[in-house]
Amino acid sequence: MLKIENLHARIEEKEILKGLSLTIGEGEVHAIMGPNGSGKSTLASVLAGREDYEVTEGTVTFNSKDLLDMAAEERAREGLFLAFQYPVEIPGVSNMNFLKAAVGEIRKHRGLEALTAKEFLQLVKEKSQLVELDGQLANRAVNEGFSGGEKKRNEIFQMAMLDPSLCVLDETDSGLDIDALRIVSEGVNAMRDGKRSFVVITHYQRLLDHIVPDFVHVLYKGKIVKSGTKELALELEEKGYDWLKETEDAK
Amino acid sequence: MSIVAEIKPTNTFSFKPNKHSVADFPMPTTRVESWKYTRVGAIDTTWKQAERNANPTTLENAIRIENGFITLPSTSIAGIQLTLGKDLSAAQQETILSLLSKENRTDVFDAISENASNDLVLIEVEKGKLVEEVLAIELGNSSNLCMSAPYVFIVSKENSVAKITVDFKGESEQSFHLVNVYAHVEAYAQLEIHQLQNTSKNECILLRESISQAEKSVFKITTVTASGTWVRNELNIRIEGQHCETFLSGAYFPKQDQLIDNHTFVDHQVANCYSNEIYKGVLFDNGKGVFNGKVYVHIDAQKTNAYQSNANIMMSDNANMFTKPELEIYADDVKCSHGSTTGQFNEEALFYLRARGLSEESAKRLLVSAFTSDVMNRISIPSWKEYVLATLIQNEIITE
Ligand SMILES: Nc1ncnc2c1ncn2[C@@H]1O[C@H](COP(=O)(O)OP(=O)(O)OP(=O)(O)O)[C@@H](O)[C@H]1O
Ligand SMILES: [Mg+2]
Repeated sequence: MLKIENLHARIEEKEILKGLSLTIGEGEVHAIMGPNGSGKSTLASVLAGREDYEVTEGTVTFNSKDLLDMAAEERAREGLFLAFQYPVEIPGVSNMNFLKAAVGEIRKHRGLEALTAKEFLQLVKEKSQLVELDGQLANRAVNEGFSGGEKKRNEIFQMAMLDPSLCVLDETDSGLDIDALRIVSEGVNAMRDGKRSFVVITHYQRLLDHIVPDFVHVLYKGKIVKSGTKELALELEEKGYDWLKETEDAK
Repeated sequence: MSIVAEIKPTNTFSFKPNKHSVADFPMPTTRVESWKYTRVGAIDTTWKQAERNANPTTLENAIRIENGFITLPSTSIAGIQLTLGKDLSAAQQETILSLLSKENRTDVFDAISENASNDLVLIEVEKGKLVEEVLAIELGNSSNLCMSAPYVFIVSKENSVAKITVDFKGESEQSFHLVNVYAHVEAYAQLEIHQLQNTSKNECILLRESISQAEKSVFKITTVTASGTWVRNELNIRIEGQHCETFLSGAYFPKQDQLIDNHTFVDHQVANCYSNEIYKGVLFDNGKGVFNGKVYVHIDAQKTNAYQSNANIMMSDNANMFTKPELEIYADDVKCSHGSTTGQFNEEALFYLRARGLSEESAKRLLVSAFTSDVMNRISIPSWKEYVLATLIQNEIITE
């Protein structure tokens, strides 16, 4: 599904990803953990196509296509979805209008018929229930005045609406209380269907109790320094990152 | 060759003594403060004085101003009386003279207008009438290289309510609309004017509006300039009676080499009035925008509450925006605020929308319509709002 090889990326002359490789198969859930500033969000942004980042080396193949060659919107249409760590507020743009446009573009790209107004509303109803998002929120401006938790739920709601094949979740758990965490995780789990793949970026085991990963990777200084199964996350929770940092910094 | 060369005097203001003489005024240069950013270049050429079409268009529900000559609608609107210049009574002529006397623009364009005006219409909204039907005015120049100079006078009589739309249509290859609008809103009356300017490639507009408000009146105006090679709107509002409300807003979208200039003046002469002004611009290509918003609070105008904001988005590095708020406040117990911003697109928002599958173009248009929505939301006539938005969609400025 996704193959990242020796990825180097920089922003404003500062190299942040320094030879990152990662392969994600169909239906797999990969957790990416790592200390602050290690480059997790940078990886997510580079995958999603943010133009501020310059890829200086490496390749990314998504469903056997060159991902780096595509504009952000093409990546979305091809089935990549990024749930932002900090979803932006867009006053004046209604959630509904924007989603209608997004769903329209994506369906068109996939050769599907446009939804009727009724079908669209039905889909909104169904998917907003999935994350228990208040129907009123869907009618407001994108993220405007939403609480931290509401913003994150709105991300998962949009993800469900757009039906991607690869979901990248950047710290979707931060800012969520226990109930919201459960709701969001259940929403994500409901979307696990053996085909859809997930990259879950998080600092905490807490989320991984709900969304159980197949693989766990540690990102440090722009590289994957350790990979393992879900037990690695437990180990990290217990021991922190220092032991990994020491071995890595010694190199 | 200058615009002045071809002026032939007309009879429109035969009842007005002491007309200004065109020869007494020079063309404003950029050394004149109010013309600092706007060159008259594009309009200072030899326009033919417009002539009446042999078969002018008559519209069923709208006043048609064609080449500056006015044709009344074939059906009348209950509560509104329309009178052409040639049919004015002596009392109506007095009304017009008194409206004209409130304005003190004495410059070359004022002199040209007065002397070369093709036609005028007086719109009187009857006392106490709540007019639900909208009075539409449509302006088009059908002959090329002509200058049309119509006058529209409006009197909203005491305790009346009316809405007027003004539609500048681009019908010629190249022409000049020199349009004067004078309105007086009497006590307790409410008047709204909603304007759209969408003229063709080489049409120029100089629109001069002079509004005065008596006590407890409400005046609202929106001006959307969707396109126009050289457009200057001068809107002067004199608030003469207490407890008035005034809402003025505009949105402008210069593309290519277009120039769109809005000069507004809110004159708070008396106490206890509220004015609220929002102008928004989105500038493309080599587009140029000018906003000059003057708010004058006289020494007796205590408890004035005046708000002004001008915000602009630059869609291109080559676009230019010149914005100048001018607040002159001589009363001490007032609430006045103003703010102006000129910036780039919100890149974060743009990326967010694209990351959900919207093309860059449609994401931008969505953001433009969001940016200007507070101005559009002030258009209180749903069908007109739809028409304005459809025009912006057609001009590839916003999306559906
Ligand atoms: N626009 C920018 N300009 C310069 N440096 C940047 C910019 N954005 C991010 N960085 C730097 O890149 C590094 C990696 O940041 P990134 O956001 O990817 O880390 P992260 O692993 O997601 O951290 P966190 O766990 O705190 O979310 C940090 O040192 C950060 O300061
Ligand atoms: Mg991060």
